[in-house]
Amino acid sequence: MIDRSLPPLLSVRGLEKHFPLGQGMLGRAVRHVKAVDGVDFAIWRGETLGLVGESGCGKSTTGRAVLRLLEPTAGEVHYDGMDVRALDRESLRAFRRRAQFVFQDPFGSLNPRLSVGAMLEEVLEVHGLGGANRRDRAVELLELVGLRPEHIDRYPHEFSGGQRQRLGVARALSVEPEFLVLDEPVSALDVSVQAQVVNLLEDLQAELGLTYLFIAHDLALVEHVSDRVAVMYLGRIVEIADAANLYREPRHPYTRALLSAVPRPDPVGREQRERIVLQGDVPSAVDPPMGCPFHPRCPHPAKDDVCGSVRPLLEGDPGGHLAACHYQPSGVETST
Amino acid sequence: MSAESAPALLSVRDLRTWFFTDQGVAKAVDGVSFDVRAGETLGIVGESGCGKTVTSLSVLGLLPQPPARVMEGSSVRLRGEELIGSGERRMRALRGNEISMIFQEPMSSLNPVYKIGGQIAESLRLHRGMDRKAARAEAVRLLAEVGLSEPERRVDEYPHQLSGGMRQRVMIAMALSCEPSLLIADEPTTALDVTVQAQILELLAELRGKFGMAVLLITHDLGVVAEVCDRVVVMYAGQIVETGTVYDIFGEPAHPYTRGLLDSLPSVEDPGKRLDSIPGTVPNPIDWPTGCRFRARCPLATEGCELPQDLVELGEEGRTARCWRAPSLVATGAAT
Repeated sequence: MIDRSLPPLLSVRGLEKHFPLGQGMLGRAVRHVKAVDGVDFAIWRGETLGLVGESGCGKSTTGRAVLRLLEPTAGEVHYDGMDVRALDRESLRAFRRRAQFVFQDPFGSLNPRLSVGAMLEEVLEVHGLGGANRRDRAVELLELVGLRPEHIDRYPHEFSGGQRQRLGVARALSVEPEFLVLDEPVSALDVSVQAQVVNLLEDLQAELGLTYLFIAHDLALVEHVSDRVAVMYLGRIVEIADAANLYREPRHPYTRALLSAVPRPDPVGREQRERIVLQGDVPSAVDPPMGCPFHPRCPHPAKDDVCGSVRPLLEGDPGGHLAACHYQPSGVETST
Repeated sequence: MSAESAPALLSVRDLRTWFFTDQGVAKAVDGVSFDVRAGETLGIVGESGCGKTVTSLSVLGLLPQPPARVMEGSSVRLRGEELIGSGERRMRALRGNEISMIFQEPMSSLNPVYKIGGQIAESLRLHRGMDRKAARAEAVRLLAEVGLSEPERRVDEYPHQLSGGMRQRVMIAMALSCEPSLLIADEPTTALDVTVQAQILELLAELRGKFGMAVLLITHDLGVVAEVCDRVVVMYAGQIVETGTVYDIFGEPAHPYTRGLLDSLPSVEDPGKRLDSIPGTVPNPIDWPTGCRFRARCPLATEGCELPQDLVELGEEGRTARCWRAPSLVATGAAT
């Protein structure tokens, strides 16, 4: 079970990832897309942290920067006491055996020329695993993710979308990791198949004691899979809390708007449902607003000059429900 | 109530659209019948490959023939006028006038090298015979109508200068330019973020109230259906498997496939509850299963399901399910 009195498995502080935009004079980049702009969070062993937000909020970049698939621009990433940003090539490879990434598009991330068996055996070989029994291990992996042993000689195009995502998971699990970054793992799949893959991920987590960073834009799904949830907006986390608290008592005006915008698969009472419809679009991450990144669109009645000049910190109940808003409801526990 | 007694605006009968390919005949739409009444929103919902988009494109006469062929006996009537075989000239006159459409990806429906104002004006000059100046003024008015900020400036912008949500607003402005009686919207919000989706759905509802147009909404998103539709058609494997009011479909689903789809979604009341997935995958349209097409994936399949299934009437008018067991399923469901 999750023990939050222990140090977290992954802890991220002040993480930034800025992408240079074009080239200025003398080859120097003049402007930057601040995709991730100061992100703090921690994940404890055995838990699932959901990372949600709309496109361009930096959630995927955060997931990649944590595993150094993209080099962070600034900030700290600690994994089980290890300084991930300081790792050299050799130790980075050892780290990747413990922490793996599962991509959204299973087809784009599988080599079309390699049979499933060859693909899995290659990963095992690269990491020096499996020894002479690599093929047996590959069959085991297929069975682990609900595929059949005879699938081993097939090629990616012979699989359906759901099966391909199972292959993506099998590949990630081949090195026996303890931590997975799952980037929109089911959003390309049909609803009925989504449920199959989500159930598989939950079973694997229970069986193998895995820890997940689950990145997705589907808020209902994230509530379903996550123990805790972090909401990102324009490169920053604006709220983080236990899933139940965040969905029931959202504190940040953006979280409230986001949750109220989710269409509910239940028509009863839809006319009465209160919906906060935000005006306008998300501002550019090249030139994010001063102060609170959400202030230009924020419908909060208390919004004032402070919001436009002072960047709010993530605060609230220590170690619990945190929000980055100057005017969040005070840390008083509201009625349950 | 009033909508139910109104005559059908669009009447589709036994629509069969088949694709003749090298691999065989894909019966993408295989005997589909439904009505859209004036002023109502009818949703067609289903997973990828169920035939919902081919149905809408067949209504619009937008499928390239060959490889597609709308088979003999198919009928699509708009206010009593048969559209199948009416010729490209007549269809062109109807499209954009009586029937308009918006699609998932507005970028691919807009010409990237022309200003958006010019594109809207073109349809106004074509369909409403306006001169250049009047058309431009009307384009600005329409852009304001769909909630685009600064329409006088936007009218001279190119599609790439707009965000996804703004582009979809431009598409809606174009679709509305001739005050159509039927708007066909194929996944209109699928490519959009959830807060932008809420904006667009609200806009569509508002405009529908104002102009009294009917909407045929094609989507895979059950949440969107529950939010905006009056009546719902559920498709599976080229056929309609269930029809009813939105309250019937979500409150008392009669077909095991509809039930399975709804159970695949995270529960609103108990978000952590394990998802019920539908086993297997959608069958191949070149080789639909005989008998009930859902049989192989159906938890309730039994003797009798190997026979072809008809839509069974379930009491009220317009309430049907393609399952011989549906009457008893609904009866037991109602008892709880």
